[in-house]
Amino acid sequence: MRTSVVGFGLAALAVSGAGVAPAQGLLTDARRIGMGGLALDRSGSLRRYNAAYRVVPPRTGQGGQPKITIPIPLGLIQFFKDHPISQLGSDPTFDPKSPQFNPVELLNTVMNPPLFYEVKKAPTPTNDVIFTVGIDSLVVDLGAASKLVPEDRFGIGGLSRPLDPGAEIKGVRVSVTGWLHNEVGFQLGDTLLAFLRDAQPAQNNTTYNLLGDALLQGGFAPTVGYAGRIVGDSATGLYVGAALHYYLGAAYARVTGDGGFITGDTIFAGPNPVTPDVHALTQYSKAGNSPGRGVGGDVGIAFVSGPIELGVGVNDIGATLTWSDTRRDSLLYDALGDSLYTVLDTNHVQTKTKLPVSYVANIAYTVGNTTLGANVLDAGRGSSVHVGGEQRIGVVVLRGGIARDQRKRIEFGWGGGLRFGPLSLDVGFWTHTRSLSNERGITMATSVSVY
Amino acid sequence: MTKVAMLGAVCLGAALAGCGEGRVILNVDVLSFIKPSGRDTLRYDVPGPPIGSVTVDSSMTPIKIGLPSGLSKSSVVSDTLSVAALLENATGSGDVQYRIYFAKDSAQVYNTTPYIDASSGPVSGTTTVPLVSTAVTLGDTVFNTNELWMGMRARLTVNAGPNLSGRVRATEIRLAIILQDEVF
Repeated sequence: MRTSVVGFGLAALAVSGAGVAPAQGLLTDARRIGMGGLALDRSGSLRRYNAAYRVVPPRTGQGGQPKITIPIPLGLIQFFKDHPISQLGSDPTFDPKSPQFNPVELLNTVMNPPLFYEVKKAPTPTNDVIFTVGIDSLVVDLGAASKLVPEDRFGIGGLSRPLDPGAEIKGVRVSVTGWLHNEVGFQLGDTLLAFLRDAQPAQNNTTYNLLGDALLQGGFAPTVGYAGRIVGDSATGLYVGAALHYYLGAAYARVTGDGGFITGDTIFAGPNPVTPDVHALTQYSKAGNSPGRGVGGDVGIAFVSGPIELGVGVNDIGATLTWSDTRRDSLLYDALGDSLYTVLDTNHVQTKTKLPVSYVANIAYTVGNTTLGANVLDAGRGSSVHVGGEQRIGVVVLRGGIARDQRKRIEFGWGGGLRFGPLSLDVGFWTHTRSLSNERGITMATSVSVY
Repeated sequence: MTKVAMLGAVCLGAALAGCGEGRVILNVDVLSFIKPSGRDTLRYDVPGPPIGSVTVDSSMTPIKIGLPSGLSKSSVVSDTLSVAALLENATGSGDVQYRIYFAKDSAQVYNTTPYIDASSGPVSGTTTVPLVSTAVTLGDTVFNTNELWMGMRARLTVNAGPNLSGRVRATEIRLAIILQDEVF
């Protein structure tokens, strides 16, 4: 029982906290960090989310695009100085048996990997938690930490394409794209939210629950695509790109439902103070079953005219997969046996899943030694906005930027670099809210780029 | 998963979310657990001996105090027990020792040292005596549990003469337990 209790707590924390992590993403390039996450070159997210950028040549006049960027992990040096690698197994910070063990600190480390140096570490909440208990009353006061309890739906996930091997002839590319889509989300019910966030007393005969859903699906997609310049030349041109995917899903699993408990006539009276309440529906198609099938497409357009560049790309349009051999089970709670059980709902039935539509829109403007840019990126879980720029003064580069992440929080970036021939050394600072904390932290990233 | 643990799971989740290196403080209104069954009052009516005095105990059947589960491995930093009661003596003379006990096991409640041992001093005839006491203990392992048993006893020393009769009525029993959270 102990395990499940702890597991519940940590899982709730992990899910609630993990939603923070992808809001800014883990970047390893100090140049991007110095511009609040904005990338001014024509690689990375532009090529991933705009099919036209596959053929847009690298921008000239700003030193070119680096062949490789290597992060300098100053944060790891500090981390292993504080937590010697030979003693990690018994490190009091991560040892649950230690009085210094702090699960919030542990989760912050997971969500905010110490690759780079934390100039300002977001403070971990350390306030006391007060339980006020009577036979018919229970109040939980989380203090300042109650602000960490998510009010809105919280989720993590995304669609990645880890593999895309293929061959290209005259703009036409035939490939097989590997894809993986995962989504996990939950939302506290109103009563549970008020109980945890507002320290409302527990009520009699009331349901306290959270609504959750999770989806994991993966497979590959034979793809045929085209990208090319249809008007103009390398200085001024209009580029278009499109790709048609035939998705083949190898397997998928989905859970939707709600779980919690119902209080009784008296909160702490009798052997059963609360009754679990679980209703969930699981659906899955195992590997080896008939694959999911669907068709979707990507489109992109990019316009380059001297110092000005515009682009829009949309991905996985209409990507709905049909799974012809799905099993559905209901997950319920057995009050008599005090246990969870599953009941076959239907088997060998057809179900459908969707891949999220993602998009990117970008603009860049270069004048002299100054390049300014902005983009809006939605990778399937809310949009993020980045605005920034860099100023080159001889070997020195100055950068700045501002971003609004998926949680609608404003973050700031600034930094600079030195460029010596084919090498540059860059440093970037970026505020972040990737920790379980009410305050921002500031990361200092350093990297070396080879041009 | 047991039913009791469901509530504890949420409570522990809350504790984990909030506490970090902080502490968990349980403020328990113990009186609320015993009052509905009328066990907040100990009644006594003991004949006085012909000579000298006699000592008799009047005890409450131990009662369970339900606490949020999931904290049984946490270490108790301290606990503070605050008790207020009224001794309402009707007849006879003697004195009353008002005692509060706690244990993890109902069978052991009255085999332990009382946490509160408040003396009324000599009483005689119709009189009301307030009994107030606070006790603080450190590192007591009795309280890191979700099933605490409590006992209440009046030790009566009855002097020669008429029956010693009356009642002891608890008006406040509060327990503040400070735990250093240790979740695994």
